[in-house]
Amino acid sequence: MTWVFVRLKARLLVHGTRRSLNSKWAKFAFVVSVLASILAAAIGFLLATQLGGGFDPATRHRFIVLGTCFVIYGWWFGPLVYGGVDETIDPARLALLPLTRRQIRSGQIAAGFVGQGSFVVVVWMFGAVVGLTTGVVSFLLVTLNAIAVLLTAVIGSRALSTTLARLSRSRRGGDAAAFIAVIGGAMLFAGFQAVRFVDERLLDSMTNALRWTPAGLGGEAFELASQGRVGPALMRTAVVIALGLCAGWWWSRSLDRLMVEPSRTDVAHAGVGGSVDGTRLAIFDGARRRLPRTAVGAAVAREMVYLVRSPGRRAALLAGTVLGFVYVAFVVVRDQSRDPGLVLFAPIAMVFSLQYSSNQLGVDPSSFWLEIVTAPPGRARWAGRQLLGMIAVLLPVICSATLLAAWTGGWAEWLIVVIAMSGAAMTMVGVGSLMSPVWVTPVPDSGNPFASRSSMSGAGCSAGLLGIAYMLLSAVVLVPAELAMYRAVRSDSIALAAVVAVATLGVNLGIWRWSTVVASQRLERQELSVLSKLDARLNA
Amino acid sequence: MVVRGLYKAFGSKVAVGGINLDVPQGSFYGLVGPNGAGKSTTIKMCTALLRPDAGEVWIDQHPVWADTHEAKRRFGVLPDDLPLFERLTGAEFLTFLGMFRGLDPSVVATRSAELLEVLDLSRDARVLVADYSTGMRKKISLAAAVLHAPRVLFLDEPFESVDPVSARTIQDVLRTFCSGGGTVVLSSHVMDTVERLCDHVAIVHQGWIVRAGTVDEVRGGRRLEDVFIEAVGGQHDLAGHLGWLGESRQR
Repeated sequence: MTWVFVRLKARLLVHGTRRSLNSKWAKFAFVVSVLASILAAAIGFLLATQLGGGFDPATRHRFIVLGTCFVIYGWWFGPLVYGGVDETIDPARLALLPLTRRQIRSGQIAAGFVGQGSFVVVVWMFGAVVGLTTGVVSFLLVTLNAIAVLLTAVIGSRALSTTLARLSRSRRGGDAAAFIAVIGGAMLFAGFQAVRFVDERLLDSMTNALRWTPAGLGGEAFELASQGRVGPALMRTAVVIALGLCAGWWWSRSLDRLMVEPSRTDVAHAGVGGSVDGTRLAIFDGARRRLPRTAVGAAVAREMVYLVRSPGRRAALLAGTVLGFVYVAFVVVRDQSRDPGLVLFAPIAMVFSLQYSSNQLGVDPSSFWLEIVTAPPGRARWAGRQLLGMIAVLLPVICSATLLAAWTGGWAEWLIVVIAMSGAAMTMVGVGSLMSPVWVTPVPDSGNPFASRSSMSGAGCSAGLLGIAYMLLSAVVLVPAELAMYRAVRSDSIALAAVVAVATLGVNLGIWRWSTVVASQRLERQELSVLSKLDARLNA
Repeated sequence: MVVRGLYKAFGSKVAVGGINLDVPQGSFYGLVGPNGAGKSTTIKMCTALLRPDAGEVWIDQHPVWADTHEAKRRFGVLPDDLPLFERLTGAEFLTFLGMFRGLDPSVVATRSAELLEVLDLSRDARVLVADYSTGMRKKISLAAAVLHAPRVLFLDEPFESVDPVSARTIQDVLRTFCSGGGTVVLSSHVMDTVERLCDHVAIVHQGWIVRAGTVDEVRGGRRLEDVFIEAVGGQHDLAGHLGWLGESRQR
């Protein structure tokens, strides 16, 4: 049965990849992602094979402990932030089959090793076995530990994804799940940044702290095993195995519940009841009552409702803001500088929220056909999406700018960032509307917002490359405005700064209006091709 | 509604092979056919959701593909699978779609309340669509489809997975719609429903219309199901096959 899962996963990946390679861009992204995987596997393998004698002892210790932590914690939390755990085989689809828990678990674990990401890590582990083996005993110990680390990484990742999916079926649970995912992802991201920015002493502190965690003990087990110290190595490996078993038990429990509980939020979570009368427009209730009673007003109102009610929206905004904030915080920690000019770098914090402005049609994909059928005015089709894009971009930037201004006292620079960024955000959502029909990617692609059924098809690579291009475009609009205002403020020419601010807002407003009009016209012609990309079933 | 030469192929597979159809105003028209016959594809092409390779559709004398925007004002559609705005309540969903269709706000408010009442959704008007049952989803989709008072209503398998009470409510609304001069085109493979509701029927098979006319003309005094099976050639002789199906009881 396990072999059936492996073959099914391989087959699904091949078909999914074939289906997604429908343009030159997608083919290019797929090739790049495959080459990147091969490169990562080769570099990791070479480094791992040098662990026996290629590094001094301190560097080796750091490398092994942090590397093992990276494998386990990265496998657990990384996908939650960067695209979702690979769930090519959706466990919910197995609910009707007479499979035992053991069969499902072992099948899913085995299938988890099929794919580019797992290939890379398995090659690294193979390199570790080659590099750390000094004899028969060490070979056996290192191999056992490598297997334990790999299994714990895969099982823990599944346990977390399944638990979060189950939590996200209720409103409060959805928020809790998003919070866990975001905090885990933020810690992981902070770890990456720490490795890049901190000095050797701090790196040692991190290693000393992490070596007492189960993953760190797994790293130490590698080291001890290569030295032939059987007892201490086995004890540490046993901790990793115990962690894997606990994760497996929890996963099994969550999986059982996930398969038999209803897939929708229950009625109590709507939190509202009662009838409507024939004089009120339901969507314009409460804070939305001042919106114009037009199609554009309705689109904005709908987005405001979704910002409050959709766990996916809240998770995305929270993730983008926290991760951007963490990134900027590390810049501050690294530089130890109190130059107010640092505040001007706050816009970097929007890097994790770009998809909400560059992939506007991909958000909430299943409802796009309703727009096609109702044929609203072009501006109405973009209004809600642009509002979301603006909020997703501005929120992390303003939070980070506030942090930096509080640190450096650069409140004048804070104002510059807010003004320049408000203008740039208009351009970004306008240009994003123009780009969205071309590179539309459905988000999320399955019922589990923490899992992805289209993993390893090059889509992530494609989104990454597009994000870089989009960041560069944003920089072209943003940086000159920021610098011009900054120079004016520095030379005490407030009047000049005000002129630049007004000109910046004017130019960006013009770009936004032009691009929205063109995007509306183009979308009318492209809506059926967008629909087919968003929901293949509709055109199949 | 008039359809002329409607053709669609996916690669080498011809889904709809050149359909011609005349649907009289005020009629209740059933498109019947086995799974994969091309019913849903035809409805998608009639409702501007799927571009045909050839052919044209006229609704209330407006060409769907040459003047899509204007045609969309004249029809409503209830699709087979129902992607909706899950995080809106039923009332908010109708309001949103009404505003998107450019209706006057007071008209949207009045019609929404009336539709929710008639479709027995008033008590759940402020419940999220995500929490609706299948029948309730069909009913709110029907309300969304008729909110702008279209001339033609397309329904793709409207009674699939719907309980008898909800089905009866939907049928009553559809009859009211027809009696007011509206035209209903529905696809189904449930012959009893079509025979009971429709006054016209077309049998679709492998992308072609093999029989069309009033229900009485097509049936020719027989049951519609018999005529249908004869037309699509789906009668299988099971003699000597599947004998093992009873074995599980013996074991």
